[in-house]
Amino acid sequence: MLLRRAVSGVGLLVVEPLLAVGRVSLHTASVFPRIFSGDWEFDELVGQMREFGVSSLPMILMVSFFMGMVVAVNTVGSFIRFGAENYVGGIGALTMVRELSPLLSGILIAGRIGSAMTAEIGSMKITEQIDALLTFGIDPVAYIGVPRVLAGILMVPLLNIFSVVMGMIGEYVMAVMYSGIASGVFHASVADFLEFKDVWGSLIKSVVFGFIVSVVGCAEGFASSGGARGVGYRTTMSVVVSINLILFMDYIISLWIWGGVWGGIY
Amino acid sequence: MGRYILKLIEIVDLKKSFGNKEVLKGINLLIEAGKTTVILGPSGSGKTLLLRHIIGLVSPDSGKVLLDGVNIFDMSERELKRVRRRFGMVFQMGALFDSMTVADNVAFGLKRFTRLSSDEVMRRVSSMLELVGLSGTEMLYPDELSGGMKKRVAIARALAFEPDIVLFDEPTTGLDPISAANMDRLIYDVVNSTGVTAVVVTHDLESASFVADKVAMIYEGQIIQVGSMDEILMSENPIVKRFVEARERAVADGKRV
Repeated sequence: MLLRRAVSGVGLLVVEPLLAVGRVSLHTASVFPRIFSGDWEFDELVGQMREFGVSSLPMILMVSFFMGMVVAVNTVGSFIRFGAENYVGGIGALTMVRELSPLLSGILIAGRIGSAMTAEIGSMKITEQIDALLTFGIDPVAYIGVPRVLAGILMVPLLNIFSVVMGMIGEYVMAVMYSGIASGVFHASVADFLEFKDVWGSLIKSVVFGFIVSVVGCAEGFASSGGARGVGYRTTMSVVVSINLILFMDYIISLWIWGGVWGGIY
Repeated sequence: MGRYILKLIEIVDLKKSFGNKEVLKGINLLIEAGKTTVILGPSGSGKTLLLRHIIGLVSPDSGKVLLDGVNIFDMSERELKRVRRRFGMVFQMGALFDSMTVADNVAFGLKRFTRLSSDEVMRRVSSMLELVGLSGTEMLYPDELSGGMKKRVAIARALAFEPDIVLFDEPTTGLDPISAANMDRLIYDVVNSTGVTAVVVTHDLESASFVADKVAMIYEGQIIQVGSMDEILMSENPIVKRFVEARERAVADGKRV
């Protein structure tokens, strides 16, 4: 009995995420054609952009500022020991642009917006509001899904840019104002290290992450059933699936752009 | 305007199962225009499910729902969307869009399916809210309303864009006796003043006898009797009789069922 439960528990751990990825793929396939359906509203897009962007900005700014300071604290000591203090700015910039800013904004948005999206759509589903849309002859995936996915694609890259800027300010504060690395050296090393493709890569990552969060948020929301408990479960799944997919895609995109796999971009 | 108005809904041998449980076991029913048809039955008899089939929210395992002879389950997604706009549906708990004000809820269909100016839309919203006795609630949000008020707003929303048919899902469930009686009167009044075809699903005999032109008694997924309210009350069918008597006992005890 115990063995059977253990086996089925492990099985569920494998099957549930696969099911979620399946739902997300189906949802991705169904959202794109609906962008041109005219069943969604521009006002809703603006509202969602505000939700994604404006209301998440303070949190992103604060977290990025601290993250930038932490990166500087972690690098400055060792780099000075090896006489490499000229590289502190550049390494910090690469860390923020290539990895930390897109990842942070993606994960924070998954926790903050993705979960709320699933909870909102899930409770619309169990209170028959989705059915009510259908009775008005309106396609719920278009009406609810399209503005959210577009907002995700548009706003997460913007948040990413703000995160980079704030992270760099954090690094500057710790490296230059606190640890005494010359301001000119810091700037020069940033300019030396950063390439154009780092910026592109960073933006590509954040577009993909924004898409993942919004599509997963919607797919899990529409999959809700079984009352408040069901919605709670879906909300958790939404965050878990988003973060896993984000980290997976982070790896794939990094391999592509900086790892020299599949030709890379220049 | 002289627009085409639906005349007849025919439900033919409709069957639906969930897993091993057959919930609808071959429903046949005729719903005529301009009349109020009540689908009456105890909880769990499949009446709400039947209502959801009529508007195509659920697909049956077999059987048809014919709107003037055309089966809605043969329609393309596009046609189905268009045909659904001939219906207004009042959900059991209202199903108001909780991110919108009462006014936006009532205006939802109007803004999309009519060419009215925004002034005309607002005038129509006010008059619909007046009709359901909720003037002045335009700027409130659904969570600021009581259960009964939500249902009344839902009626205003369903009727605002002048559908041919309105479907009511358990309109009096969860209301106190006075509110329930008011709800019956409201349904009776709006149906008569607008001439709309109504289908009401309920387990409430009181409500059925107040609003019905025709009653279809449903039990365990089958229609067991169709007729006027009087015919139902006088019925010799043992199941109908039991249902009616249970209500009479409750009335004698001073309860409304």
